[in-house]
Amino acid sequence: MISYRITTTIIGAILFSIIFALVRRGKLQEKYALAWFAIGIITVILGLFPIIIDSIARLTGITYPPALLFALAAGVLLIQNLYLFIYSSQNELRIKELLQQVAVLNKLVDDLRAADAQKSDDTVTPS
Amino acid sequence: MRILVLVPVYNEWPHLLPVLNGLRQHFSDILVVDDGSDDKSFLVNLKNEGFEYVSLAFNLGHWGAIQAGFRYALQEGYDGAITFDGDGQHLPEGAIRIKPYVEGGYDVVVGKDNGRGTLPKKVCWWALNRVAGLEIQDFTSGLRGYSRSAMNHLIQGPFLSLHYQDLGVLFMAQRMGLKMIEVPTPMKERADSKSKVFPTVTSIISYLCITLTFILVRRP
Repeated sequence: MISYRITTTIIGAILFSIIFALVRRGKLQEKYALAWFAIGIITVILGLFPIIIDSIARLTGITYPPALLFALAAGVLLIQNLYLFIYSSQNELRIKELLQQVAVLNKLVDDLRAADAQKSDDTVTPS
Repeated sequence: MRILVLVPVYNEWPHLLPVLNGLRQHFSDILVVDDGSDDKSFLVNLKNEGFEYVSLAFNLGHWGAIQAGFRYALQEGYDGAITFDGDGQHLPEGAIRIKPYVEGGYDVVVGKDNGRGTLPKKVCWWALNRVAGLEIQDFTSGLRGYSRSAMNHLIQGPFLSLHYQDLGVLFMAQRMGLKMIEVPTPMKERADSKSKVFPTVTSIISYLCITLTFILVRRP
């Protein structure tokens, strides 16, 4: 049986490399990738040195260190999720405004085209 | 004063042409806003009949379509707009009643239908009015007049997150200090009594919750 430290480190490393690949292929923008890189790096570090979590737990009076880890993980995910909702709301409004403007501009282009066609017809008819 | 009549339409093509022809006898400027209807072929019909339209690429909901109409009205230099449903529920006489109020300097003119609403609905409206600090009897009415300055406000910020032309719009309009009035207008009974906007109880509840949230977080 291998040490659990190796397992957690491998999980962290896999997470890190997936994010790295996603950014490289342009699937994930750099500014959003930063938070995920941080999560990947922290997972690797905590996997290698679980003593960190143990000592923080002792300092904060938590008797069962994994509980601290889960609480932190849940907090981080919650914040990220909230951020996504904000981002999505903002995007929805932007798309709405753009769509309305595109509809108006489309009509404007059509009107201008029609007026243009009319004009060229008028210039052709007299000659 | 140039006033544009906005007719938002979502898949209601069969009713539309009679409505538009009725309107045309009283108003020279009419704009149909296609709210992302599935069948676009009808737009050709509109063009052949000489009606102007703008077409949204996908469905934004009643209010989103009206906002697109506002943008057009503002761009083309109209002094005001009247919104008019394309399903045959509104009568041209209603729009004619609204017009003088828009010309007379009111920013938001609500056309109210006195004969509408069951008792539970009325109780609900009364409660919402109290919450929003409004005194509007028929705030779901889609027959409304707006001034140019109102339109300028109504296409921005919080108004973009609204879905219906209803209480939320009036609440925000009041908070921005727009001059409002409610005018009695004649309306036709809907042929099919079922509401198209709210077909199910769930949709009504979700609408109420969203509207309440919108108002409560912004209440002074």
